[in-house]
Amino acid sequence: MSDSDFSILGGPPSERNDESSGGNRTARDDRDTDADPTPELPPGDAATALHRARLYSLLALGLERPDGNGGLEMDDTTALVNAAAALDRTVEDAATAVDDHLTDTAERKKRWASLFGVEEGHTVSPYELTYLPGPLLTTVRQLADIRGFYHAFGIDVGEKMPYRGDHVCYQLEFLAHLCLRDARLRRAGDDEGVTIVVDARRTFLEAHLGRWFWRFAGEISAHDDGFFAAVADLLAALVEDEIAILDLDPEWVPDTSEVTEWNEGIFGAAGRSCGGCGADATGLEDLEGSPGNPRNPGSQTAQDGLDDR
Amino acid sequence: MPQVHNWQLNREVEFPYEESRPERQWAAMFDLNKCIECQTCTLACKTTWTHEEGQEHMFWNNVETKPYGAHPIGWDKRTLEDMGTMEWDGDTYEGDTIFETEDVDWDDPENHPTEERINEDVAGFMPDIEDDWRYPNLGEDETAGEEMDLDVHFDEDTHPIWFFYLPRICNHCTYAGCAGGCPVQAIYKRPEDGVVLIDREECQAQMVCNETCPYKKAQYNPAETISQKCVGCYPKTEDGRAPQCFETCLGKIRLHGYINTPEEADDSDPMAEPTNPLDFLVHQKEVALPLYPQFGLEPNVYYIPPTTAPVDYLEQLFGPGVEDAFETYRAIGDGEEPALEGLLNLMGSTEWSITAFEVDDGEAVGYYEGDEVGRVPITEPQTERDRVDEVDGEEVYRLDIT
Ligand code: SF4
Ligand code: SF4
Repeated sequence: MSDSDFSILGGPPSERNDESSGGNRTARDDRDTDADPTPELPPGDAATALHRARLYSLLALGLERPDGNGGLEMDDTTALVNAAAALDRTVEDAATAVDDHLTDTAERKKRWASLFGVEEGHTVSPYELTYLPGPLLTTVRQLADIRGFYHAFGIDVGEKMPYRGDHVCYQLEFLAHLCLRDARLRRAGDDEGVTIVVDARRTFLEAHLGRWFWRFAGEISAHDDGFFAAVADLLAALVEDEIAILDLDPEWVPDTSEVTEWNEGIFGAAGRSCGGCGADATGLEDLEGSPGNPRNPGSQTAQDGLDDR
Repeated sequence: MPQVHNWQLNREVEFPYEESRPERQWAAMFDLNKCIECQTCTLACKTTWTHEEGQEHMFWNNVETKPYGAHPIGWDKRTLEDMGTMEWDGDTYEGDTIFETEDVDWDDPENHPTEERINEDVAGFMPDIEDDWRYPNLGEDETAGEEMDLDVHFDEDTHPIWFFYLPRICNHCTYAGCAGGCPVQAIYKRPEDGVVLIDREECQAQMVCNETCPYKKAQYNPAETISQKCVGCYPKTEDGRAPQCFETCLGKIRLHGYINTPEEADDSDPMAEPTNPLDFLVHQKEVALPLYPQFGLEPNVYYIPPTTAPVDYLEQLFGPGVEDAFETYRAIGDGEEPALEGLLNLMGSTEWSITAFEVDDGEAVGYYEGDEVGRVPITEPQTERDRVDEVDGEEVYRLDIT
C-alpha cells in the first residue's frame, strides 16, 4: 500500500493489510490451529472432587458468623475430618485440629466478633482487596473479575448476604460449587465439561484466593490461637494442596499491607503521593509551560504572614 | 495547497490525507455553565479504561480549571505559541492550523509521514512523561482577573474575578491530528461512527501522535509500549448508550449524539418534529462551539461557553461565535428559547445517546433511533412560600422562597 492510498477512514489497518494480502484469519482459525487435538483430562476423580467440595463449603461455613445459619457444629466437623482424610495427610491433620478446637457457639461467636465483626472494628479483613497491592482506584477491577467468575457459572451473591463479592466465604463457596460440578460432570462422563470447570478453578485460584489466602491465614493466627486459627490452618493446607496438584503459580500479594499509591517505576519517588494538585512539587516554575500565575492570592498571604513575624 | 474542507474555519485546510467523512459522526456537547468539577467523569473513565500499570498518568477524560489549569502542563499555551498569530476574518480563519504552520505541501505524497520520515513539521510539542503529566489538577480553582477585595461586586454578566472548569476528552476529530501524524498509519476513523482508534496491532510506539494531537489525548503507555487514547466508549455507543463520562456526569452537562456538516444538517423545528439535537445546538442555534477550532482538526466535542468569563479569552478557545452564543443562551432565561431550554433539561436525564428530540406539550422528549428514551418538563413546577412567616410568635424572614 502506498502512502497516498491511505485514508484515515476505514477498518483497523491491521485488518486492511490482511484483506489486501488475501488472508482471512479469524479468531476461530487461531483456535483451531492452536488447539491441542487430544486434550488430557485434568487430574482427579469424582469422589475426591466431592470431598473437596464438602471441605470448601464447610470452611466457608466455619468462617461465617456462628449463629443460626453460619458456623460449624459437631456433625460438621466430623464430616470435615472424613472429607479431609480422603485427600491428604496434612489436610487431615489440620481438619482434626479444627475438630479438637471446636468450642460452644457462644464462645465462638465472641471470638468471631473480635476477629472479623464490626463490633470491634475488623481485626482481620476477610476481603481480598485489602491484601492487594495498589490503591483502591486500581484494585476495584478485581471485584468485577470475581463477579465475572460467579456470573459465568450462573451464580451471584445472595441479596440477603451483607458482604462484598471478594469476601473469603464467597470465594470458598464458589470453589465448592466448581468442585461439585466437577464431580457431577465426571460421573456423567462429560470430559469437555470437566476441563472447563477445572480450568475455571485453576484460574480463579491463581488470580484470587491463591494469591492472598496465606496473608489472611497469617493474620488470623497472629490474633487467635483457638478454633479460628485451626480453621485458618485448614484453609491454608487445602489451598496449598490445590496449588501443588493443579501445578499453579499464583503471584502472591505483598507480605505487608503497605500500599503503593502511584507507580513509582514511572513517576519516581514523587509517585508515592497523588501529586495531582502540584502542592508537594518543588520547582514547578521551572517546568516548561507552567502557568506561572504571578498573582496567586494563596502564596501572597503566606508571604505576608512571614513578613509580620 | 488546499486539501480538505473544514466548515468550522470556513475554508479549505491542509491535512496529509484526503477528505472522507464517516456515515455518521460521534459528537458531544458540554455546557460549561454547569460543570462543578466533581471529577466523577474522570473517575468513571479511569476505572473503566485506564486502571492498568502503565496508564497511571492517563486521564482520557480530565477536567481542568481555566485559565491556569492544563493537563498536561501548558498543553494549549505551548501549541498556540508555536502557531503564531491567529486571525479571524468574520467566520473565516486566516491564521495557520497546526498542519499549515510549517508550510509543508501535504499534497505531495513525499511529505506524508512514513517510518523513515517522521514528520516534525506540525505545530506542537511532545509531552514529557516524567514532568508534563504529573500534575493533573495543577491550577485548580486558581482565579483570574481582579484581586478579591471586600468591595468587589459581581454586577455584570462577565465577572471581574473568574475561572471555569473545562472537561476534556478526545474530540474524535474529523481531521484527526493523531492519525495525520502517525508514520505507520496505525490510527484510523471508523466509517460507521467516526470514532478515532489506535490499532494496537499496528502501533509501533513511534509516539508521533502524542505530539501531533494538539489536545494531547493520544498518550503513550510505557508498560505496553504502545500509544492509547479514548475509544469513545464505542462498546456502549454501539448499543445506543452514552459513554461512561456522560452517563455519570453529576452536573448533567453532557449530551451524546451524532453531528452532520452544515450542508447536511437537520434543519427541522423541534417544536414540530423530532430534530437532531447536535445539529440543532451547533448549526441551528450556534450556541455550542468547538474547542480551539484554529488547530484545524474539526473537533467534534462542542461547548456552550461559560457566561461569566471574558469574551476575548473565550474567543481564543472557541472562535468568533462566543457573543452570539451568549445572546442565545441568555434568551433561555427570558423564556424565548423553549426548545433549547427543553433540550438542556433533557440532557443528563437519560443514559441513552439522543439522536432526535422534540417539544411535545410542554415536555422535551428524547429519542434514540426512534425509541423514546427520555421525557422531562421544560419548566419545573415551582411553589413559592411567603417571604415573611410567623413561627412560635416570632416573625421569620426567608431568604429562599422557592
Ligand atoms: S461529572 Fe460533569 S459536572 Fe462533574 S466534573 Fe465531570 S463534566 Fe463536570
Ligand atoms: S483529540 Fe487528539 S487523539 Fe482525539 S482524534 Fe483529535 S487529534 Fe486524535
